Amino acid sequence: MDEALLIENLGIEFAHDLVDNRLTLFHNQLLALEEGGDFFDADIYEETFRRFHGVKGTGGMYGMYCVSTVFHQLENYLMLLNKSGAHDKSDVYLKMHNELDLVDKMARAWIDGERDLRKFLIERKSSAHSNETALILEPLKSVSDQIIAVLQDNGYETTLVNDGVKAMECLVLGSFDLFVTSEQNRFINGSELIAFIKINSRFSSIKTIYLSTESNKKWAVCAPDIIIKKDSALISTLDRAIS
Amino acid sequence: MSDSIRFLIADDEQHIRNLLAIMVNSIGYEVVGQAEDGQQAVDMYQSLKPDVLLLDINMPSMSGVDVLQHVITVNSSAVVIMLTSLNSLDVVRQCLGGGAKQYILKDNSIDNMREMLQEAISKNIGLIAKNQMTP
Repeated sequence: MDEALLIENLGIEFAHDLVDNRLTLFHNQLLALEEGGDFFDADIYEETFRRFHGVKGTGGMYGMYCVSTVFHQLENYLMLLNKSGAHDKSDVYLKMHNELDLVDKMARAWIDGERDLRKFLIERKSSAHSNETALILEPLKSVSDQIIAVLQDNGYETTLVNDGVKAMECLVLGSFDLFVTSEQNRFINGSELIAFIKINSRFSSIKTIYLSTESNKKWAVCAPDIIIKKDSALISTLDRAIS
Repeated sequence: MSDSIRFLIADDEQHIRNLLAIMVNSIGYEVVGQAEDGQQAVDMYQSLKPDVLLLDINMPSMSGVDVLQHVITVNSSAVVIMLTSLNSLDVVRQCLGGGAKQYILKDNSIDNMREMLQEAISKNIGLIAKNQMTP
């Protein structure tokens, strides 16, 4: 048999293997890890990591680069679970199950003859925060335009304000999942607004992102969830932080 | 040097072993064995005495790093090529320091891997020939 055809057939066999066997096994392994709670079963962890790693490599060899990308992300999530810390593990498990479901769609598409799986990654990105709302306080239009573009790419519905009082009004009267602010604003500064959110239990579900500058260390007082340096990498860092 | 170069492939992923075997055969070399875990790789290396060992790093029962150590202890001039992915490059550096001759990135297309393998064999062809002449 022609080598290319042989590899093509093996690739389809691999996709079937993912759909029929491996993804179910991975879901079950994650459930077993989650059931362990604080006791993190090292054997299951090692085996799951090795299997994820194997699929990542195999996917790449068959040209399923998007499958490899997702499994690379799954490896990162698994490493995150293995780290002690206060992060919400149930949220990480949920993301991992969703990623496995995404691979299921990719593998089925591959079986059906689709060879460009990038659309699945694009859809995942835009649905990551669908139905979520973000309030942005950034006086510089050149910066706020880019921030809005990144947030909307990730599925957020955005509201832009350009002074601290308007931001406060929106926070009190509206309902937001994310607040992104720079420090220097008219009337009320970013650090004061974040401090207001943090001390008010009504806003406990709002995630805060503080855009810091080299000379500004006000975030130490206001304790935002995420601090992003306002430099040339701002947009890519923001994209990573919310993806 | 004998007509063909004999390969042992060690990887716990059957799909990867199959693909590597196709790749090795397509270049005109021979696959004499496939090991699915680390212990099997050590046993098969000793019994089959291949010219080249293609060795995965993440394997059950014994990791590729441990297999490498065993193989190099038995034969310090063994030609071992590590199979890895981009995020294991720190381990690769450790393997290269431990006697591996080359590494190949697994999360790559077959064509790219074939090129990498051919380059690795070219670089070590002298050593392979020397090993073949050694009883």
